[in-house]
Amino acid sequence: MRNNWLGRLVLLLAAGMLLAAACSSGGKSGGKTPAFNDNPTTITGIATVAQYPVPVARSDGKPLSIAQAPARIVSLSPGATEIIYAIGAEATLAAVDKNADFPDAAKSFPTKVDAFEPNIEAITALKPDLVIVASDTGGIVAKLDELKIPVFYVDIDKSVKTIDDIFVQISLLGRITGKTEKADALVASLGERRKKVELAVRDIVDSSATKVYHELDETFYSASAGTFVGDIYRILHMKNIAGDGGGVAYPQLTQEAILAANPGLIVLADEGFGVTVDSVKARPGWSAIDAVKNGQILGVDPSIVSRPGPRIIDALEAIAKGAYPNRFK
Amino acid sequence: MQLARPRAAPARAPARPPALLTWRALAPSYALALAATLAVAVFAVSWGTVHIAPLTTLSILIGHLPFVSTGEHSATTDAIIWQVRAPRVLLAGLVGATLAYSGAAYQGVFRNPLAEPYLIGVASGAAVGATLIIISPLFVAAWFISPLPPAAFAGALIAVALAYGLARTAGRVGTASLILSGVAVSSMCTSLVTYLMLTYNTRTLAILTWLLGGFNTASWQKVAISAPYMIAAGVLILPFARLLNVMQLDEDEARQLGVNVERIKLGVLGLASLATAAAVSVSGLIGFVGLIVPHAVRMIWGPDYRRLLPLSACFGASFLILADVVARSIDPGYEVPIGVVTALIGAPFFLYLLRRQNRAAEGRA
Repeated sequence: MRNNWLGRLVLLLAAGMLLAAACSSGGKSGGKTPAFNDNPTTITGIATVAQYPVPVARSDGKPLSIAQAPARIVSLSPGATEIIYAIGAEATLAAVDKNADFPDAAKSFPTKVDAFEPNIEAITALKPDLVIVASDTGGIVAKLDELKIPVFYVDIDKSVKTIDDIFVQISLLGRITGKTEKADALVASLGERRKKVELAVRDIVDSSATKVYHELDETFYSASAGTFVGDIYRILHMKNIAGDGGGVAYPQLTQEAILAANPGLIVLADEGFGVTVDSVKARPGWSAIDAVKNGQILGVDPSIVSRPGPRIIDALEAIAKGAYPNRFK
Repeated sequence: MQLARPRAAPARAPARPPALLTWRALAPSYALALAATLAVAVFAVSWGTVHIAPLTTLSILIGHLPFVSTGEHSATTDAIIWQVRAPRVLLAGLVGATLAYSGAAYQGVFRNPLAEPYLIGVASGAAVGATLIIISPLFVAAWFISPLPPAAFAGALIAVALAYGLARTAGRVGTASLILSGVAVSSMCTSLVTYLMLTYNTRTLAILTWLLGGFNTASWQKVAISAPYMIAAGVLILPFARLLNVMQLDEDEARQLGVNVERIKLGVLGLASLATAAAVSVSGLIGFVGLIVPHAVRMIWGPDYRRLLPLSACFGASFLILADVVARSIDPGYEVPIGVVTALIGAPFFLYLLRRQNRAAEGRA
């Protein structure tokens, strides 16, 4: 019986870790780019007029070239769905996944598919000309490849490691759907907002950096520096106590390591899942932590901060304002 | 980790316990095993990611005893030792002991070497209870007591009662039909959990984390709500040891000897299931301990249940405490699922014992 559990569960675990977020992005961009605008990523120099074919660097290294604007996209990624709405390409959507809850039109989208256990028959029946996959659960990518259905597979863990990666994905989805101009305008305005935050915190140096603990769930899963969530803290000049995660994107910290690190700020991406500011304060032993002593505990909507979509900048701003109220008036 | 002298049992015939051991003769091995377990526990509290000197550790622990003061320590060090490590080690020890003695008891009742405490539905029943809470709006950790452990506990007991009730015909419960109904109830519960996990997939990670088990969120509160069941059941199960010995012959033979087999089954399985339910409700599903530890003890110290039950408890406690030490220090600061560690350490050790026993058997032949 135990074997049954373990076999199934361990397999699902990896997928589960990603699920809080679930989305994808385009090719790789530099890891330590100071600001999007200064950074010669793949986007600069792209013509504003839609040009096909559009090449996509898939996370599994297989080539994908999109020859013409797709008309029936099945998005298995809530983040990509948000992007498609934000660039005004929602007319191309044939189905979104069950977790898509933003904007309202995505939430009430008539056709929904399960991204966590993708049903290949249901997806095929929708006759998609592009399927967006953020994590390859149940070998969905290989199955779609076999059926010669184009798969926009950009793994949330392997290829979405920074906010720039999210911008790259916005831009890429813009080119794919023929909404290049709108996508570029969105990226520009998001980049502008990020720049403002960067300017407001630019004088913070390492020695005075706030130590931050980002909580994904009540068993102390966190986001390491190598994730787009970790990128938020890099931008804010904070010291993420999850570090590099020991090579794991979303590691589980030991409780004693959290106490020993003594973070000055706790960000709860699990508020609403039973964890509250008060419940964190009430945890045995946590009163020794500076963030608890000084009331520096911040709840952030998980569907914003854990999802690589345009609203990641909302998360950045919310955390920035919560952590440095005097700098953002 | 040799808790007592190896292979103490005299030349033993399989399945026939040696008759000459008295409770008094067993006492030294109990004492030795208990002392070894305590030593392991103290070591585990002083060992961790954050280096705290063993003397400081002891001083903090003693300082928390009533009416003793050992001076001031930094709030963080004190919290790490007293609020994080001490309950964590204690809980791991209690859960390890419970799974191991329950496993021994299950193996004794079912007379089946593959029996383990999750056999007739405890684990999957608890999983249903826990999952229902995790996906419900009730899952508010701000409550005085988290509703999760009680729900897991209730789920476990309902599943076992269901399996037992289904297997019962004309006042008797055949072990074979109990295993079958247990497997059926388990798979029913498992599919329910899988369904819920996929339906409420924003909570999948929380459910998986619970299912995989571990002690990262151990607290004195968890110790307080589960320890009474685990300790009481362990003490109450001990008097059944002699009858379990008799039952190893043959159920019919045992009946002819005047043993009320049905009552033993109900008593032993009831106590073991109750204790396991309490253990699972605070630690999740930790495999391997309940299956392997009793076998290891049997291979080293013989099949007498009067020795097997308490030594399994001590051995199981030490084993799980050490496995947890490894789980939290393999990659300092980060957790490794404890189920992975129990299997990785336990399996080779068990295979070693198995080979040693087989060789010894060949040597005698």
